[in-house]
Amino acid sequence: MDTVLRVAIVYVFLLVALRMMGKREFGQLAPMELIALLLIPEIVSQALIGEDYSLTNAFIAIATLLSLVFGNSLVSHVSKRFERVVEGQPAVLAHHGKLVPENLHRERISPSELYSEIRKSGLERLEQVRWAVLEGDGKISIVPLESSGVQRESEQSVL
Amino acid sequence: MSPEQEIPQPPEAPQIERRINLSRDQLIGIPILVLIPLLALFGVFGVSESRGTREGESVALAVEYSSRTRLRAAHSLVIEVTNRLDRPLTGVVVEVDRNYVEKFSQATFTPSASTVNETAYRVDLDPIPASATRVVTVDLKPVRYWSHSGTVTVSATESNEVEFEFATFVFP
Repeated sequence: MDTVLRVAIVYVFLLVALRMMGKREFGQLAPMELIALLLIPEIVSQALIGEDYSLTNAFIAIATLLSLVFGNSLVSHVSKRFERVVEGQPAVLAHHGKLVPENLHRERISPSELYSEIRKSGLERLEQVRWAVLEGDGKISIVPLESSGVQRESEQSVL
Repeated sequence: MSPEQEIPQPPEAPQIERRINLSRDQLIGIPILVLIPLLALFGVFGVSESRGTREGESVALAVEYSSRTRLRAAHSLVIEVTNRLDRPLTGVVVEVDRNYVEKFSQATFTPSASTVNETAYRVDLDPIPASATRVVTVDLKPVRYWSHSGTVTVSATESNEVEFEFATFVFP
C-alpha cells in the first residue's frame, strides 16, 4: 500500500514540477537542467521504494507508475481541458515575420535561439516565417510563408 | 483584452468526438496492470501479522507471526507462554522448528537459545510464577521466498507438550 501511495505522490509531484518548468525544458536541456533531471531519479528512488528491495515491491511500483501513465493518457484523450493542463498549449513565438515578445519571455527563448531554429528549417529571415510555434513537447515548429520558397512545414527537433 | 487574446494563433486541429478505443490485448492487459496497485492498496501483497493460541492443562501458548511478508523484510516471531496453574511452572522449554528458522537469516532469539539440536532451537525459561507470562522473541529476516511452515512447542515439568503449527508466505 505504501509503495502505491509513494509512486502516485512522486508521479503527480514530478508531473506538476516539470509542467511548471515550461515546455522548453522537454525539448532542450541546458547543462544545469540536465544535471537536475539526472539527479531527480537518484533522489526519488529511495522515496519510491523505501527499504523494501523485494521483487514484489518493484512490480507494484512499476504497475502503479504504468497505471498512472495510462490513466493520464486516457483522461487526456477524452478531456480537452485535462489535456491542456497536463500537456500544455503551444505558444506562438513569431507570426508573419513578427516576434511575440510576451511568449518569448514566458518561455525563456531568446531571439537568437529562435533564429537558430529558423535557419535549421532552411530560412534565413524572420520575414519568411508564417508561424514559429513552441509545441507542447518543447520542439519549435516553423511554418514558412508561401512566398519564402520553402514548400513544406518543417519541425525542428532541438535535441 | 488580455495580451494572449491579441496574439494570433495558428489554425487549430479539427475536433473529433473523443472516445476510448482499446485493443483486445489492452482490454485484457490494462485491468490486470491496474489490479496490481489496487490489490496492493488493500494490503494483499503486504506484511500480514497473525496470532494463534493453544492451551494445555497447565500452560497456554500464544504465537504472533507473519503469515505474509516480503523477502528481506525483517519481522518477529513472538511466543508467549502463560502459566495457568496456581503455582510456579518449572522446566519450561520453548522449541522452534529448525527447518523454519533456517529459511531466515539473522535469527536472533531473546532470551537466547540455549541449544540447537537437529530439529529445533531450544530456549530454556526460568520458572514462571502462577498466572504469569513469559515472552520469547525471534527476530527474522526471510532469505528464501515462498511458503515456510514451522512449529512452536512448549513443554514443562508439570505439563504436557503444547504445539502450534503455522506458516509464513514470503513474497519474492
